[in-house]
Amino acid sequence: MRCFDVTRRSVPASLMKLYKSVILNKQIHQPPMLIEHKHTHAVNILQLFTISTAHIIRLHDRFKELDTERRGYLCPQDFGAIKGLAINPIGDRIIGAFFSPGRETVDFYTFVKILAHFRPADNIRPKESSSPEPINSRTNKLKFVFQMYDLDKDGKISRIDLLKALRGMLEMQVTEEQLDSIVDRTIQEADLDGDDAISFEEFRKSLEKVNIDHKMSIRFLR
Amino acid sequence: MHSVHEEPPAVLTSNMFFLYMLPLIVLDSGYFMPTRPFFENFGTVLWFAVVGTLWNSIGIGISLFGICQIEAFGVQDINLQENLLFASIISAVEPVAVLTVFEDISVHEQLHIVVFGESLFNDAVTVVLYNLFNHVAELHVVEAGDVFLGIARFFVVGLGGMMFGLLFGFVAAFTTRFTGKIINPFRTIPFNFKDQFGLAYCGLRGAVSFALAYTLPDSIGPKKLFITSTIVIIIFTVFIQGITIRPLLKLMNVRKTNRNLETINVGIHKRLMEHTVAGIEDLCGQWSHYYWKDKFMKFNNRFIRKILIRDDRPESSIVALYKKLELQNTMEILDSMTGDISATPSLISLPDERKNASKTRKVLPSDVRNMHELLSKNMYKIRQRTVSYTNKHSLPNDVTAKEILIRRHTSLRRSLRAGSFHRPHVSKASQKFLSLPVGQSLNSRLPPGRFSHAGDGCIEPEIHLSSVSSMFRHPQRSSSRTIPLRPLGSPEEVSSSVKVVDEENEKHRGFRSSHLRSSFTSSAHQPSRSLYRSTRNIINEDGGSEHEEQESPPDPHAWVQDPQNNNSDMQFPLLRRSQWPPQKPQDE
Repeated sequence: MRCFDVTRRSVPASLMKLYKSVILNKQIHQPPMLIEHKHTHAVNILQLFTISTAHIIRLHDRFKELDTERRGYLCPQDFGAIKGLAINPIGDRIIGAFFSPGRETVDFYTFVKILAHFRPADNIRPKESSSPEPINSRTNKLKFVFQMYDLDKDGKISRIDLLKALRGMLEMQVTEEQLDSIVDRTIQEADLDGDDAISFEEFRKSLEKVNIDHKMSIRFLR
Repeated sequence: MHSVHEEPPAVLTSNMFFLYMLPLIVLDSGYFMPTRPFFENFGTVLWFAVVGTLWNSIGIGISLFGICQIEAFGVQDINLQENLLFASIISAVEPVAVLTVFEDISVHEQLHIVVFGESLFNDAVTVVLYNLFNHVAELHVVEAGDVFLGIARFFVVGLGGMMFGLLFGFVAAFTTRFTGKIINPFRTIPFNFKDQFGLAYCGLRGAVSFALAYTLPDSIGPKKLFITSTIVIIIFTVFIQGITIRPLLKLMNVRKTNRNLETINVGIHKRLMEHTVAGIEDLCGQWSHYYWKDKFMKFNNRFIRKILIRDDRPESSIVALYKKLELQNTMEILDSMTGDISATPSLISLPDERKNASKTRKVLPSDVRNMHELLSKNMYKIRQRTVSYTNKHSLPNDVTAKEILIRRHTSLRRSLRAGSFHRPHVSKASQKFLSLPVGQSLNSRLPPGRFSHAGDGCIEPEIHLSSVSSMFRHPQRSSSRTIPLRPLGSPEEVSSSVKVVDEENEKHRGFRSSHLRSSFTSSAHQPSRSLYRSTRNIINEDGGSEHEEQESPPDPHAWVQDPQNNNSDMQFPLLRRSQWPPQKPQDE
């Protein structure tokens, strides 16, 4: 894993060129996120650069491939064109994760940022509390999954959320009654404060024995 | 041996072995193959199988040849081909012994599946190598052309074998398993050192080696020597390594697999995560094992199942897991009850922190006794259909599950008619309270003096105690806590106070209440309503209180408050020894 600290070393020229091209390709009305906030610039780039250069280039190729109209950003239709996602039961939720609330487009920075969640976690991480948690930490991965469930974004997985998710995943294989039972049981098991919904902490607790890093990692992003 | 017998004692011709025995061995392995972990580790398995064995056989062959050259051993006449031949025989790692040991000590899934897959693939290709070297060894002069022919033949046989059921495997032998540096970079879950050692140490040799050695054609000079050394090696690996594997692995604390049933939460979330990663992989345009697994499952469901399986409705593993958990819970409850008491498990259903507004679906089985017998006979044989059979000694039995579900449904319908929900949201909470009607606190009900070692007192039905305690026997199984066997919503039932029972468990362990027992017996076939009434009667006689006549809950909301407070505690009442007295007073 090569990590480029912008504050200390100079970024490889090729990569800067890449980013410049990405930035320049964008629409004018959309401020490029890379140079949006100067003070978070270093941090953001650092995060971004925890993916190695080769991967970023590969992802950029993919980004360009998806961006059929060569606009420099992706819109929901571009995502919808991916066949695998279309038949995925939670495909639309995954797509939704890329679009932060209020935005209609996804630039390359956001694209990589979301995908960076799926890097396998590094085992050696200096335990300084000052540095922000890497985007592929267990907590952040869990947050991503939580996001998949919590459609109304109220910070909890309610029965409705769970029902919808389960219905999507189980498709035709269950009756409504069974579905309700399963949802009941799920909430029963996890809900500790009795509010009939699963908060993030309860969610995290219910998954404490599961190796999230293994399940939520894509190998090629290592 | 030749001096004693005219021919080998066992007529184990190579034909018999290859045509009859080997395919059956492979079939047995393949039938019980756990698919998901297998495909996830497919790369590793193949790597071991393919490259490992090649490397191995050749390495051993050459080094043996080198050793043979040392005059001190006096075996200079063994030429290279024969050495290679021997090496290929010796490379055949025996799967059965290893897997038995692994299974026994519950090594974690990754290790288990790699060894399993490797053995699955190894049997036949060792044979391929064997044939190759055999052929080569018989020639006195090995020319370049022969070598190429040999290689070509190797491929032909190999590919042909693959066509006949993917017989493809190589074995990495004992001395060359330095896989950390080679394989780990490609693995998402790397093998740590202990895993590697386990892998290395488990290279036991057995039947295949022996058979191959035996079927060596007589033209090979040192055949007897080979046979003897094969036997020695087999004995060594099987007995010595085999016997010491178990303590060694335990000693090194090779990561264990988790044998407990996962909670339904974990099941669902895992599934969702798999979908997520599959989607992201599609997004990135990368194929990974999820892709192949997905494809395979689809193909499986669409074609293979229809053709080969009688009932081809694919059962979701989540639903299967859920059913299994329910069954388990049912059984635990039933186990704890005596035969007489066929009454409502609902009353003793576990702390339900949730006040569930929805209609209660899960209902107590009506014909408990039959179910009890059925279940106890079949409990540990239930396995999910879609999940691989990791243990070939336990096969699924769906009959029970279906029966119970059917019974549940019928009794649900029956009880739905009977029940009425005034305040459905109360039902969850107040279920816990067995002996007090809704709206009354313990303090006011029972003479405080009666229970010397507690501030508040309450009757503790023995039956509930034992059932609850048995249900809490396995606190790590959170699924056992929350039983979906909820009662129906009629207010009287609702006020059963299991919660009180839970909290008193530790303190009042010895407290007997035989009255309750008998009342239970009498109300054997009544739904929960009457049980509740009889319970209250008992409290009447024991506590001398007069509150029983109230049938309707004066103020269910009072009780609703209460469980909220204790919710986090309710999870592990057995661990909360200092929670007594419960915070009931604040309700009133």
